[in-house]
Amino acid sequence: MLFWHVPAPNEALLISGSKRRGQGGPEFRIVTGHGCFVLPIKQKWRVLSLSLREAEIVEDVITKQGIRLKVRAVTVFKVGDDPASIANAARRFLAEQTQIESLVGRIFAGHLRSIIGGLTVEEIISDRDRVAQEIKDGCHTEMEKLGLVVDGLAIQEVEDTTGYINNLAAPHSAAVASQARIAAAKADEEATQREQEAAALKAQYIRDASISQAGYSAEVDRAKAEAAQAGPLAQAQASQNVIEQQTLLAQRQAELAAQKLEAEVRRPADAEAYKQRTLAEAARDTVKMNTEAEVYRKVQLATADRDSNKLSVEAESLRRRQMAEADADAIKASAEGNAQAAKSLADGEAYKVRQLAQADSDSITVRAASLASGNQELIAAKQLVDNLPEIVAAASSAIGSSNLTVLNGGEGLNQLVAQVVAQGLSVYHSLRQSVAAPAAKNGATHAAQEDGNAEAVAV
Amino acid sequence: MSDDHELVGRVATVTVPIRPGKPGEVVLSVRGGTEAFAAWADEAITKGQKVVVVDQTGARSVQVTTL
Repeated sequence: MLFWHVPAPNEALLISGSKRRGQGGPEFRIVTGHGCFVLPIKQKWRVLSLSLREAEIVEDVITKQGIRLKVRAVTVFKVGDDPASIANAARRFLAEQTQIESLVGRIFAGHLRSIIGGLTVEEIISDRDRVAQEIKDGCHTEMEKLGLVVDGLAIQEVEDTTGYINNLAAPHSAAVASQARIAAAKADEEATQREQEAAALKAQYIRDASISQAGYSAEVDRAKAEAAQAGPLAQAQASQNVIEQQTLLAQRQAELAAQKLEAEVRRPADAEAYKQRTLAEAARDTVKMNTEAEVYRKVQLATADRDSNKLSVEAESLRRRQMAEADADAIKASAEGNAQAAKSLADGEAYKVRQLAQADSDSITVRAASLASGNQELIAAKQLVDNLPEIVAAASSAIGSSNLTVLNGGEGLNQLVAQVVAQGLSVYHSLRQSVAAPAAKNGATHAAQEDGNAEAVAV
Repeated sequence: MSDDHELVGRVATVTVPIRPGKPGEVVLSVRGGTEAFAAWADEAITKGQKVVVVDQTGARSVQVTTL
């Protein structure tokens, strides 16, 4: 391995000393990725690191808006991998590889000023593409000459001496702070509300629990009291039952005694009393019967006596009364007879005069009528019938005018009247027969006959 | 510069937007890895677009155009 050299993957082997043909290429060999033979003495080899390098830059810069910023940035670069870049870099830095960073840093500081000068603060803060564009625009050409590639520029810190960034952030920070306070207040309010609600619920639960406890303790006390009373109550009830049973027993004993008394004393006494009472009643009834029979007998005797006396008295009084009545009737009849006699006499007189006048007028009328009709019988009969009451009256007046003495009282008087009537009737019959027998007679004889009969009866 | 390292005709991806006259950056697959190159274009090309290398103007500089 003395003359054979192999570069690491991040190294480029630069071999000089040999004559190189071709034009346009470098005058030394650049070997990467594989080994190569290096002739001793004649050739010389060096290694160029292709690793990443970094340079820190702190620079006061002015932005596009004229704002002064103090920027601390880190740039990351390496030697380009292509042979042209390796040749450029080798020529410049091969002997001072350890100083590349400071060299590049100083170079880059100037570029940074131009880069930042093309940007605003807002773009620096937020627009990476713009920053990258400016980096490319500002330093690419120079870096290419050095054979370097800028992989990145990291602005680590921007110190704002004028307070622009703070002012830029102020509204946002104020808004954010406001929102934060609002959120905190809301959260606090909500938390307080929840706490108060929870406290209210807690109080409610405590109240409910207390009520329930009180109710349960009341129930327990009541149950205890009932349990405490249960003993004496049961005892009292037992005593009551005992007393009831004793009462019942006493009642039964009393009933037994009563039954005994009934059977042994009262029933015999009753029987005895009944016997004596029956005997007494029998005796009394006997006496009573006897007494009544005696009384009845005496009453009957007295009644008989009294009736006989009464009958005799009544017969006597009747006899006397009848005698008095007979006397009175006799006197009355004689008076009435006198009066009737006077009346009949007057009537007879008047009647006689009137009948005479009537008879005259009638005879004239009848004669005229008989001459007219010839029906004298009927006329005569009718006249007789019409005059019958007067005939009878005349007879009776004749009786009345006579001083007739009736010996057999009222009955005799009635007989007398009946006879008078019967005589009237017989007179009527006889007159009818006499009228019927002689067909033609004159009214004068007829009236005379009638008057004669009436006088005869009156005699 | 060897032929296997020829960049022209290769497709690259823009990593820093390119403005006309101002360089951006593209990433190319070279030598088994990816390397960043400064890129110029006649038109503005936004980040992330695919571009094709039309010319290599320097060791680390290329001219690109949109596909």
